[in-house]
Amino acid sequence: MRLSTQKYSDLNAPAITNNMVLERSLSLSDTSPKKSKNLNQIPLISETIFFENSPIIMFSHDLDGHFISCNELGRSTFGFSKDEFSSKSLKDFIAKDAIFDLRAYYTSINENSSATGQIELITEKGEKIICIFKSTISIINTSEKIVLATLIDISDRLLIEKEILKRAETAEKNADLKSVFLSNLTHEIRTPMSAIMGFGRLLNDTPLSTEQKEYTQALNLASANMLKMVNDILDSTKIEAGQLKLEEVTFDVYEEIQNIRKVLNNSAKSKDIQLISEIEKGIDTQIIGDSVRLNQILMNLIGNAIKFTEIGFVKIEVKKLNESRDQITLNFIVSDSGIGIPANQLETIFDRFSQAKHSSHRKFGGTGLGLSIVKSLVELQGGKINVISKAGKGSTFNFQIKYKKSINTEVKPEEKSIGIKTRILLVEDNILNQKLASKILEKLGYETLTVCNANDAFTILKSEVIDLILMDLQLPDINGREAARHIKSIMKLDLPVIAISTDRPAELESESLFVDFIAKPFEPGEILRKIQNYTRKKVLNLSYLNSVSEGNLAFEKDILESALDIIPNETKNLKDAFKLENFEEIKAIAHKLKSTYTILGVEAEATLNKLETIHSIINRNTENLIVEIELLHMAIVQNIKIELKSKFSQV
Amino acid sequence: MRVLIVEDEVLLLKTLEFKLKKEGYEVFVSKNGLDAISDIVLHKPDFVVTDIMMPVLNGLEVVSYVRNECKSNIPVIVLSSAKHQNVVIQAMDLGASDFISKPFSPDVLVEKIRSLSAQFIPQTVFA
Repeated sequence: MRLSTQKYSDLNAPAITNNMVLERSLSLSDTSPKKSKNLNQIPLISETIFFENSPIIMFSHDLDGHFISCNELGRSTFGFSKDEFSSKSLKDFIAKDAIFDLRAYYTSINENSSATGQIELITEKGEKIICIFKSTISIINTSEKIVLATLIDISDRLLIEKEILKRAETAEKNADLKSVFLSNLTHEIRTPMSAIMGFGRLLNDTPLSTEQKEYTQALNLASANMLKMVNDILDSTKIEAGQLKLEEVTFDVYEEIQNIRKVLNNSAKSKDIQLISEIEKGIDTQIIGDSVRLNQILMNLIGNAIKFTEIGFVKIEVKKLNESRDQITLNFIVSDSGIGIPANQLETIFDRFSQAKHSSHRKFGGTGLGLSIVKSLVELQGGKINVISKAGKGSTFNFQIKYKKSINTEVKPEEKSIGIKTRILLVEDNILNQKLASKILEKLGYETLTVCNANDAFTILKSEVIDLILMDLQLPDINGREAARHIKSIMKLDLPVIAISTDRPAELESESLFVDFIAKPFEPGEILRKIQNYTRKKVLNLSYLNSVSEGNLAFEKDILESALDIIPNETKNLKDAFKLENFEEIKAIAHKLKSTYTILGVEAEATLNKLETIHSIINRNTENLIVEIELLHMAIVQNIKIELKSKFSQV
Repeated sequence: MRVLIVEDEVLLLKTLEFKLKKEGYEVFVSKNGLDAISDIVLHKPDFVVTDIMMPVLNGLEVVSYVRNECKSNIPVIVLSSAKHQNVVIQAMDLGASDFISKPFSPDVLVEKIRSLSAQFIPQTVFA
């Protein structure tokens, strides 16, 4: 900036005087006498320097717009000398195409004594500049009115603003492109991953040396971890792009939690952690919502809790927050006795990649996307998640989701016995036999509760729903026969009890205490056959078929015989698709089976619906569903054979 | 009248075949969309009943083939589960005459075939 060397007399006196008076009156309001005294001593010339050297254009004009004074910056911008003031008028500098209402400007000044706004002006060089202005009326010589105006050229600032906006837009576009790219990439990775995992699993089932087995297991574990990461990234990009769609299916919260427990039980046990689940009594656990996403949230939170806990407990609680006629809000609480979260990380824990910034990442691994996905999934379902934690004392995650109530709350017992696993109480005192039997039962897809003596069996029967009892005849406290009698006549429970013994007791036939007998050592086929006999008596319902056939037995026979081919075939297809992680194929088979089941009157829609809505994640849950279908198919085949034998032997 | 049933689930296919034959129709069956297209050319049906979710070529492609390739206005009924409403809408947009949600009673199909073929005025025949 050039220092003014002009003399006071060169400048327009009234405007300056006026400015000065204004400034002084402002400063005088400051009560400090010393300061005001100083101000009074400032020579007039200083103020002209302020005026002349201002980085803001300052000028005064009369009520017709003729210039009276103008500072250095103004003169150089508009290109006129001091002598030309009176010949120049405001309107000479307003850009021709500018939308500026000069009349409104004067009106505002006359009525409000001031005007502010934005204006486009033409410089000496013919450049268009955009300025913001403020004009104030001032009275000089007691009656003459002049306008004091300031102008700030904001053209450069506007240009920068535009540039910033453009860059922000590009950045946003790039982020979108990046999301699409990531999403495509992860899809591309998942396809070969499916093959790697599928064949890894198949390889693991072939005869291998101990060393080879170790290698394939490491391979499978690593690929499972990688798939989880890829899935996380995919989910995260989907959420970011707003492409994640929620499903609405009827499901049972209780079942969902049991499934999660089954999957995570081993990792909890291996670390001496007790995995506890509590569902508030009396709430209807049949709800409509996205079961897969709930599973994902809980698996993540509970999985994390186990990961960050060395000893103690991990607990999942489900409570009812509120309930209306057709909606229920559930509160899920996942707490642990683990290492907790330091206070300075609590705020960022739900941010993407937050874990990666901390040292915990090195110890525990992971993409750092898990909790951010959890948060998004909860919010996507209209819920909220929060966390309370103290380093060293454990953490508590708490979230609420509102679900629709299932309209059909009465589940038919037949449907339930297929949808939910058959629960078997095994009463056996020999630990080895106990282990062997429960292993076999577990493999066959049954849920097994095990006790060592009759009294414990009675206790369990009082609190748990049991479908069938396997009772050893040689028990330490009361013998099996007495125990069975107690259950039937004292406890009044009408349950099928199957006796287990090394040798067939002579009196079994005469007593109606036991429905059947299983010999030790156990043979899986025999156990399955006998349990199925007493738990799923009616798998088929041929009324649909009968109504179509109207007595045409040859047609009925044809259908049943075809089913004998189709059913085992579909079991195989389903298992193959599962091994190869071919989700689309699993869904297609489940869809097709619905028609098959309609014709045969098999009620397993809940299971098929679940299979039809499996997402990109194949887990133990899916595996359980497939085992369920496999067992159901075995039962269907068995039942069709019986049907064919009894009804169509003559056809 | 010649009816073509396209359905990949064998038991349902057999059941519908049995039912329609009993009603006096001449019935042809295809197990997927691709077979259906050759069967349409081969048997020139007066009526098509097709499942939507099928391997190889799906029911939407069958509807589209009948309408766009054959330029035929014969009645086409699509079968779909109630869950997949959007594909039913797609099928109707492509020119399906009606739809039935699975599971259904074969009587419903018979009734629909009867009423649709009663309204039907042939405009084109298969070349």
